[in-house]
Amino acid sequence: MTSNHLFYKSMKEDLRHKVWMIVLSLLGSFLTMPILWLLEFGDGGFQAVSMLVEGSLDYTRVLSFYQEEMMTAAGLIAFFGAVIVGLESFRFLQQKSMVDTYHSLPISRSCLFGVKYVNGLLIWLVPYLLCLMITIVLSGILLARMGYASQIPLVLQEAAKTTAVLAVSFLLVYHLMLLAVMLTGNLLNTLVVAVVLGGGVISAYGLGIGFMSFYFHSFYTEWEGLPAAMYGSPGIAAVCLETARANEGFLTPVNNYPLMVLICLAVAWILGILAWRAYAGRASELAGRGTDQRWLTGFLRFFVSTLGGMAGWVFMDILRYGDAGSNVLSVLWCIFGAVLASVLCYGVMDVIFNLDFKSFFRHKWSMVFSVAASLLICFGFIWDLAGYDRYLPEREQIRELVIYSNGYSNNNGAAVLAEQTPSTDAEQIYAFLERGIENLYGRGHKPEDAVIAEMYGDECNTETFYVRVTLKNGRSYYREYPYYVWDQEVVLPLLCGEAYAQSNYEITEELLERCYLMNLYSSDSKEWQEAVEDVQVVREIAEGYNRDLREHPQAVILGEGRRLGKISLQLKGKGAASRLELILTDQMPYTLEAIEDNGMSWLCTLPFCAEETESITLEIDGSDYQYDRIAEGMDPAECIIRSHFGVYPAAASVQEEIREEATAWTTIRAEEAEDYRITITDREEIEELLPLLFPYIRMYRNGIYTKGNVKDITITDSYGLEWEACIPEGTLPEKYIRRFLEENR
Amino acid sequence: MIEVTDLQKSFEEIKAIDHITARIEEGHVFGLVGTNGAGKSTFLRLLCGVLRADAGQVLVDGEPVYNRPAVKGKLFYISDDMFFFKTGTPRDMAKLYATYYPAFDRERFARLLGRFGLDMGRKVNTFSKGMKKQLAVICGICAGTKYLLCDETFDGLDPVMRQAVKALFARDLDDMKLSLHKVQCVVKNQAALEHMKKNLEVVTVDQRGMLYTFTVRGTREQVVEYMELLNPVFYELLPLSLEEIFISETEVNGYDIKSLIL
Repeated sequence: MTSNHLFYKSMKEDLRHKVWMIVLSLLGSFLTMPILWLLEFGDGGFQAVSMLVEGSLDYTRVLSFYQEEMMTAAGLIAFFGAVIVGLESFRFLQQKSMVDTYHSLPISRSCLFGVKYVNGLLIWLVPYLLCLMITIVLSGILLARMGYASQIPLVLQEAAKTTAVLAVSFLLVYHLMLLAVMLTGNLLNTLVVAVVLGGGVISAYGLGIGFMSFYFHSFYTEWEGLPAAMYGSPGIAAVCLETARANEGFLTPVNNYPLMVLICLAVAWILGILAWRAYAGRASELAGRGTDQRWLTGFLRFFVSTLGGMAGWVFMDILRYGDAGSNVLSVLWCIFGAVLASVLCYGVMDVIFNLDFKSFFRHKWSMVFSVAASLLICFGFIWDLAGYDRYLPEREQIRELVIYSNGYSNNNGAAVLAEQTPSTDAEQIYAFLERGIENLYGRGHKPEDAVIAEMYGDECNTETFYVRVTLKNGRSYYREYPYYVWDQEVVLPLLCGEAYAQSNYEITEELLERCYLMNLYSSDSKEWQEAVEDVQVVREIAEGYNRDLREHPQAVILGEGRRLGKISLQLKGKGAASRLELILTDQMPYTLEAIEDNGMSWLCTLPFCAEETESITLEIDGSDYQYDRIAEGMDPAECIIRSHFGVYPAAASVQEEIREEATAWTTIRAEEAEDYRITITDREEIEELLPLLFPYIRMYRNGIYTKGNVKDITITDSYGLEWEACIPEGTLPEKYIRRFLEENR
Repeated sequence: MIEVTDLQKSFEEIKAIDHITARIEEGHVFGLVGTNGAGKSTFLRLLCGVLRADAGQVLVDGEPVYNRPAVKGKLFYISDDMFFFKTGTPRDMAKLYATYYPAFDRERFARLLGRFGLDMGRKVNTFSKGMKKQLAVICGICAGTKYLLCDETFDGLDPVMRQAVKALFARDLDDMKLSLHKVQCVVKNQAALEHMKKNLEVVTVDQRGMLYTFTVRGTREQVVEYMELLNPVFYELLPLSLEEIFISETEVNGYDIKSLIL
């Protein structure tokens, strides 16, 4: 008998015993392709045609079926089909009687492997292709009836892409299961090995990321290790591959999808080759036993036990409200959780590998080593043994820095550090990083004015900056650091620097070309919406805006000056941003000039003036300040008024003994949180105050370096009209604070 | 011919086969005798290429057997726990073996099944243990291989089934002119005795005075023909008792079965 002849005869014989799998595969493919198609487009296309007439359907809907619905449904069949087929194909290896029979047959191992492997593949592929053809025919008929017969090749193209992705996904899981079967002697061990090999790396990655975010104050990730972790976890990679195609970008850790498919294919083949090598060298006597791969069992025990210990630690820490870093009792609970989980994982793995409960403590010293390793890792995190938070490279080693803060950008897209322009001023960078690290460990630079403000109820908020530092040796690292308002001298040079402005505020040609709609908000609360028909108008405004950005960055970035209006540009197409917000202030001369030149000066004209103003009313809603923390002995009313307007007495004017006593804290009680109001009618005072006021226009993004605007100011003019206005924090003259106190006692 | 040279096989710390050397000539029924755990099954699994030896070699007709389909095609291994498809029938087993053994005799398979009262279409999982053993032996006999390796074939069979399976072997050996017979006789003619030894394969001879006990190979007719030629005072053809052989062989090797029983 020739080997080819034997191969086909063996395939036929093998398939006879797998009819149930073929039937299941056929049923699964049938339900997830032709039946799903009919459910979607129903009644043989009549419903679709009526949808077409209504205008609710176009031919792309038919195409997207292959990318979305079919991809998801057939993807499930491919995934679970690969698991079942992978387990079943070489089931004979796990039973002594079967392995005796199959390995005594006059067929080489390579031939037997080929037969079982190809049959497993065909059991999924043939029913799939059969049902796919039916679905394509149905789609073709529908498209022809819709008058889109010329688009039928696109259907074939989409179907081919989906098939390619499903095939790679199937191979990933199929080869993973084969490898797990080859390394083990029974089903339980196979499943354990498959789970660990299929998802172990990404679990370790996730746990590591979790630990870092939990215990490192400066931890920030751009998920740069995620693709490698995904490729190292084939079971997860298969899911990512399918969902990424079905949902365009969802769970896609790399931007290049075709590259992702190719890498997954390579991983699948590596697993396949490993499975074959494992089978070629597999001892028949392994059947029915756990596994005899000592290196594998040793590694898995250590790996699972260490991860389990870490999980036990963090679980206990969460139960103890995450205070393990500061509480001895909590640390003890965490140690208990880590030791218990690590021992359990280790013992259970040993029981599984040896199929014997008495094996729980079989490798006592290795178990102790694993427990110690997991504890060491946990303490390494909690005590930051690696110096992660404290890490500051030498000044000379730093090449460039990229920063980003969610509070500072003129668009609504999520920025990533990779897209930011780097700064290279070593002095600025070093000072910025040094202050960030200091802020992690306390408020070393807190000025006295800030201490006074805190006594009156100021919360001393921080702004988080995400950074990527690139060293001269090419290595980069990511961190996030908090900065206080008083850290302006180290923050603003970078925040208002050219690099940050260019990345987050500049209106580029690419953004201009995507602009299709312009919303205009004037200072008197009027709103217009205009389609951008002439991009030249927008271009001129953008040029003025970009020039202001270069010359007056604090006006554009921090919103300094009186706000006069807002322009919102709607963007079409794919990209991080779908909207740009341009806040217009009186400190942006070039933008205002461009607006005026284009006949839109009304946009930036304030609706009120001193001559026509009858009164200005300032109000405070005291309930907003309930339970605010203030220094003990302070007057709650004064605290509310001062913290509302952000006006605090100078440090020098506050008596030394008061400052020294301000070590105990209290909160403003509900009955103390009253409403306050003053009305200014004096002409001189109106003329003094009015230049400070402007309409309330909120910036899309607000950071702590953007001066807050205090609302609830009403301007009444001589016609009886009322205008809502605001005043920048900290700018209300002291005499009005005192008037508030006098009039409301 | 099967040649085993300095064969060794261990399962972790357990040494199952320790430096075994043996030579099994063609046309012989070779019995492996040993205590439980002596390594008989392991030896058979090494012979048929299921296991790979740690050291030493197994040659079948001068060629190594492990992972060599052409050599394995000369062997059929009936294990002590034969595998049958969970919902399979004897017909399915015949199809399996016919795929891999080109000389598998389906007609004989059907004939033997009928003779043993086994239904070709009945699911094997409804068979008794004895019926499964019969089916395994029938599969092995019908495979048409040069060598048949049987492991604990009579284990767990009731006496009736044991005789039936033995008869199956005996008939097959008979067909191949390889039957073994135990002959007890009282002879006077020493020359005729030597003639018989030359023309029949005498496996063992035991002489107690005038009473000779032979184990000889050949068809029943051949043995009867030679016994007639011997013209003995008395002779008797007895069925071969494997148990007897087992006990006598273990006693030779110092395994005192009586002390165990008593």
